Amino acid sequence: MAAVTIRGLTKRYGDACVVDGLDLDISDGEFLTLLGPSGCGKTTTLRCIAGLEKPDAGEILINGKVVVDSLGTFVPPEKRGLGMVFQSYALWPHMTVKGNVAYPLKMRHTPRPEIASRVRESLETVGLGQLADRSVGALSGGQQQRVALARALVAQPGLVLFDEPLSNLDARLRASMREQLQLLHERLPATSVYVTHDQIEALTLSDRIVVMHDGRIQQVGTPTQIYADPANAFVADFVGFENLLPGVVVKADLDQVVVQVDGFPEPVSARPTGQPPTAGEKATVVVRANAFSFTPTPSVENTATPSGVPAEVLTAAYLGDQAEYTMRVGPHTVRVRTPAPATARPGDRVSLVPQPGALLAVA
Amino acid sequence: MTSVRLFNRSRLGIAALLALVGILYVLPIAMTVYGAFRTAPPGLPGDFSLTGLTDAFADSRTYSTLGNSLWLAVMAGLSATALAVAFAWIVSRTDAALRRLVTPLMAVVLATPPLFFSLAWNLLGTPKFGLLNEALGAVGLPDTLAVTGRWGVWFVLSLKLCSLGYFILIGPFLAMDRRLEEASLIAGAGRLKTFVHVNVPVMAPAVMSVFIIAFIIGLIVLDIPLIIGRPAGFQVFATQIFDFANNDIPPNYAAASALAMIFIAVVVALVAIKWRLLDRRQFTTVSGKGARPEPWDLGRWTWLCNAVIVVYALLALVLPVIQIVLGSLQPVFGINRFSADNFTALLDDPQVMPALINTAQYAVVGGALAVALSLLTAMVGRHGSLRLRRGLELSSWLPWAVQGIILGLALVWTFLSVPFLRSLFGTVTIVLIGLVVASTPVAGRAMDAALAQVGRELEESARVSGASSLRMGVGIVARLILPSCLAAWLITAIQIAGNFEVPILLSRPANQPVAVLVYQLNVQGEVTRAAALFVLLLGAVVCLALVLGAVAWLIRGRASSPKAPTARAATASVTPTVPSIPSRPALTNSGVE
Repeated sequence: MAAVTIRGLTKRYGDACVVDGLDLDISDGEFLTLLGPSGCGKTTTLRCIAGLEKPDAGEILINGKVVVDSLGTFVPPEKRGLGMVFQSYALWPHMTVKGNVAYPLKMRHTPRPEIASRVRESLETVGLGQLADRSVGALSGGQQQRVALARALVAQPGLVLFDEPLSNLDARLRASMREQLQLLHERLPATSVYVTHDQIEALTLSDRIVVMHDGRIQQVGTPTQIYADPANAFVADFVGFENLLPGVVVKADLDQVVVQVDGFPEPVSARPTGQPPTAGEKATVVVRANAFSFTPTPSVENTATPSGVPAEVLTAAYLGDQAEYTMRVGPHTVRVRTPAPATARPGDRVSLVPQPGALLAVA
Repeated sequence: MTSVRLFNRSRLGIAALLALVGILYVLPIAMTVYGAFRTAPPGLPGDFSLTGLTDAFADSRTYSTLGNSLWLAVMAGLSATALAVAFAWIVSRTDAALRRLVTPLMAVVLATPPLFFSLAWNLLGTPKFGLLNEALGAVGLPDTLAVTGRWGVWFVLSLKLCSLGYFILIGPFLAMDRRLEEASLIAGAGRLKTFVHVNVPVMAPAVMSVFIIAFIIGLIVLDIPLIIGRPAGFQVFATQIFDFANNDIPPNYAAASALAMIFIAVVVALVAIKWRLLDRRQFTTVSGKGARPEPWDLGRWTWLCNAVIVVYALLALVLPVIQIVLGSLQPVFGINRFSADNFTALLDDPQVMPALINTAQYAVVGGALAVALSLLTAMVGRHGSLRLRRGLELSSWLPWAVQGIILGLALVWTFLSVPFLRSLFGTVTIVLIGLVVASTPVAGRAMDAALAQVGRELEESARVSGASSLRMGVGIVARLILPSCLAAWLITAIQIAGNFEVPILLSRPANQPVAVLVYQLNVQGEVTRAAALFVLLLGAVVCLALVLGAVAWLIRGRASSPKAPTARAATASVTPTVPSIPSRPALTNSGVE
């Protein structure tokens, strides 16, 4: 078990600042995910924790012990007692499956009989008991991934790091590995730090998610918080809010703000996430495509019904159990998804109605 | 119907190609074996007998030279491999400031013929008068360092072979997934343990093939032992063959062939071992994706890596070049009175001009022929059936067994024993054929690498658009790899210009190249005149390089103007003149490459 504390972590490559003064506390036994697009600094942060990169500033404590600071302390990776799963698996091609998994134990001078039993146990856990003597080159991608996992966990490290471990797998395999990872984490006492750009992975696996962008933390929260209450437009976009409508706050209360979205006929009410903005500030109204319903507008002259926004259907696509539309609202193109079958066709005029509470106002 | 006709026509062409390859590569080997059992010199009536074998194996010199050759092969193999590993590691894994110099440096050393190193170090390592000893004397150290005998040969050969090993290793080293090391560090192994448990075994196949190649070259190299080793009494296999065929009176071709036969057997066995054992264990291909991370931060060890690079550059290039140029300007070696006497004497020498013209012919025509032949086999191999490909691949391995002096010997037998070919002996053609055979492996590797860069889709789209296989080959593929062909031509031409092991037994005054003349001057004690002649040769090569470079530059400039993706492939293919990831290990004719 290990808690991790990161203070002011900064890493530059030449002029580019990849991680910019990052502060983070990871508690014992937690499953924490660093989520963000490529180049956001999540992998660099992970590699700094592992000791594979030296930060330019800041300190990292693992279990209360300083592993790197700006005074020159640097504990090399082999002395940090970690487990790590790499994106490319990084299995040693000259060793068998068993040899790969036994390696961390050998390096820790575990007695030989114990190595044998723990390797077997570890391979059984990932469901590869029968492949122990195979060469790793003879395994499929999913099997290689599981060997990498067994190798990371076999020495029962207090902290396990995952660097996009599922990104080389196909979609089906990814889903089943995700479930396996979840089960493993529940069984094992280790703290996990997991890097991914896949929001589904982050949402299903994590106790907490850290959304990163440009080397900075955008939001820290539970999967529910991140998914339902994104702190800003970047997070909203990243966790799948299809519609981001910039505007200006007209009126602000603690739990309700009224925003005039550029080009909308009337202001709309939205629920603020995080710090409520004040009137006159810029804000973005974000809403998911599936949070709309619409009714046909009988004639062109007819204006919006009291709760609806007038819109014109641009495209309609049938997705099986759903129908997806793009609609023009003022200068914006809004994405709308409703249960199938498709009821509107391109050129139709409709009145768009968001579900109650579906509109969020973010910074 | 069209396809059937095309098929038949191309089948005929392929049969012709196979026949040509057979004559060029297989016949010489067969003729060497035949020669070992003949009582008379090549071309003269004689009987079959075991005299050649008994002569060779009754001679006690044979066993001491065998021992010397093995010693040299093992020692040079070990040191060249170690050096090559060190340089490949510095370049691929460290942040040493001078690491970017290594690849160009190695390319120059690789391209420079061993004859140059033999001459240069023969002079450099002369007690009192050599540059090195003058420098030592100037700072008050004993000026008696002699680069000669077995250690001298070992030293110079290691410097030279290191460059070959480097180019075999650098590809796998750069391709190795850094995460493999990182995973080991995370697992709790330190850097040393990681090196022992991960780096070494993963790289073992590549390193092992470097050793085997260096071993084979060490076994057969002639020029370095001849010039540096023999004056001090160090005889090896190749010099013994040379003596049997060239210095014994009358020449004992049968004994020479008997020795050559042993060598061929050893090389075939080694190549077979290498093929079976190593080629299926391609560890470096097992890797996933992942960005290339930073190299190791060496801290205070950087200076050591930089120092290794500087010392190597001095020993393998800078000092030899200075010595050769200085020496060429000294009428009397070691006396620092400089003049152009050597050059004027050379221009007055009636042998020099014809030799220069011969060399120019050999280099330009032979280089072009070797490149064309390699391109043809590579193209056929690319499209042919698996069995055809295997056959061609095998034939490209054969020159391993007939290299340098052995190839020369084999061609003597071939040309003097086969009635139709006899009239060619003593002409430019025979030397040209020998040099083409000797240099196709070099050209072949460059062509393989160049073709590998042309995507199959580019050819297929040409075919689908209605081009015949010939038009596709000429109009698309050849056009795309033209810059690579020019580069390969240059490299091959340089190899040919510097090769003296093949022509030494084949040439008569009428067809001798400069390299042979350089050797003869050196043997006659005219060391500085030999140096001057080599400077002339180097000058000519540099001119040729400049001309070809300009042509390639023009072509590249035109090729990259359209924004098609093919243009990128064309420019990219210029680089593998010294291919970093050989599709098959380097084949050399004399340790030259």
